[in-house]
Amino acid sequence: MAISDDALKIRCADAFGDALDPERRAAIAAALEALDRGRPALLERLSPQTEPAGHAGFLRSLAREK
Amino acid sequence: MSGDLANLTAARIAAGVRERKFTAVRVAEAHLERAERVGKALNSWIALDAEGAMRAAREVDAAVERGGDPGPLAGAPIGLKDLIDAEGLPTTAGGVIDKEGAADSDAPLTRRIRRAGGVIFGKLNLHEFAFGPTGRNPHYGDQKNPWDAERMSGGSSGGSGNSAATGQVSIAIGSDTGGSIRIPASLCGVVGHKPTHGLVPKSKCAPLSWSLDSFGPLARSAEDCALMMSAVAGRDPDDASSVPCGPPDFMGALNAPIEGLRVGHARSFYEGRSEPSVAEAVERLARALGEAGARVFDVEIPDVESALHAASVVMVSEAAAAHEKNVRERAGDFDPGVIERIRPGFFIPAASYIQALRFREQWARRVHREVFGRADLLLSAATPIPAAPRSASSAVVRGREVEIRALLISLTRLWNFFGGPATALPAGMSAEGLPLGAQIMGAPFEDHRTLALAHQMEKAGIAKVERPPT
Repeated sequence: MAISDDALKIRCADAFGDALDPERRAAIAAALEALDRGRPALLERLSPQTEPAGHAGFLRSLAREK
Repeated sequence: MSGDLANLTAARIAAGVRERKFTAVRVAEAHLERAERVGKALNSWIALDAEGAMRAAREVDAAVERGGDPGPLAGAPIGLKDLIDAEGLPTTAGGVIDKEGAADSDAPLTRRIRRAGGVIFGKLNLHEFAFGPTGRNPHYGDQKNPWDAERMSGGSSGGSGNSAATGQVSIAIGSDTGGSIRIPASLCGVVGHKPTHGLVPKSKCAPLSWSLDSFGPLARSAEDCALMMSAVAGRDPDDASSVPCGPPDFMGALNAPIEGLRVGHARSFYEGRSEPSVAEAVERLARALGEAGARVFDVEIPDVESALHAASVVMVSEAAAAHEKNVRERAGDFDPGVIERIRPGFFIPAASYIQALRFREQWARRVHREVFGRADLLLSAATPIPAAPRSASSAVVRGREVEIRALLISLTRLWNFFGGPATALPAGMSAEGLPLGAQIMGAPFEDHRTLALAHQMEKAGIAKVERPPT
């Protein structure tokens, strides 16, 4: 999910009211690419049984056992 | 005598005040002298409230005079990381955006400390918005390491770490989203406890990442951390993360013996990521635990890389949400190094955030089943290096150059994602005379057990809090 600098420039201007300089945009792009690299492996492992609030439920279930 | 009082633990101070061996006022005076002198040199404080501390100390003494019991923290000097509201003081979160205006009431965490007789000394310095592990702060000064002021305290609770290590306070409260209690505890050489997520109230505390944040104590003994946990743990109806359960008996659990404990040595998790001196120090602790009667065996934490990836997605997304308005409107008032890490969160797709949360449940259940089905507790290094120079932007570990922020949080942030407790404790000193840190990690709501093992390791001389020069 690499974002082109032109696309990022538009998105930065929209999000921050400032397109930022090329160095800052490059730092954002690098961070997003790093975050995206781990995504395929994570998707492969996901069970259909899980849901976004599941971790809170997991903690509550353990609390009830105490 | 005043210097001696500043060397006492909170447990001994509270006992002495309740037994009328000395007054809370004398305790406060001794610590304030140190806080003013040493705290200034180490940039420990954003707001040292000497007047408020003396007033609170007089109230504790008055309660004792009346024959009442001021509580288990009677007269103990306490510092609050400046994310936590205390009535009458501003909450800056280490930044300048919200530095004007005082809190109109105490956070539940602050209120519980006062009710237990703790004497609040003021607000401790931190990495801006708790978003960084070095303790650098361009607004209030870098928090310095008490063993070598040219080195970093660790963060983000750097003022909490250096003030507890030097006896400016007997217990400091920090917060931990990716290691921000355990990292300064490790680099400053004190004990730091990251509680189970939801066990300690965090309403009226500035957030970094709601689902990963925990507030807890740093002190010069595990017993003092347990004492603070006894005072503050428990349900908070105003905290959406608060978990409905009665807090465990932290103090009663301290006597649980090492003998027979099943300690999983998470060697494969920390060894390759750590400097050899750190790995050797933790290895020594593992051996000593075995000699003290624990069953110590190697344990593999499953799927660490995917969990770390998902943890990053959650933290960066939530940090962007927490700071969205100010990033849009007050960008120039942020530490450039902090806003640089917040901005990518604006562009993470909602689907990525949701998948990371889904994975969190699945992974946490697996760790609970596979790891804690075999072991009672885990042992690991807390930080892969001792304190680096404050100017360092990277460090070389096992021949690989690693960015300093990523390196410092590499062994701690996994447990925020898991949601369980972890107690950082000293693991000896480096050849350069700097503290090395280990951590004991537990299953959720097993906080009393991580603290008890740390306490027993102190009692057996396996772990020792050393005193930096003051």
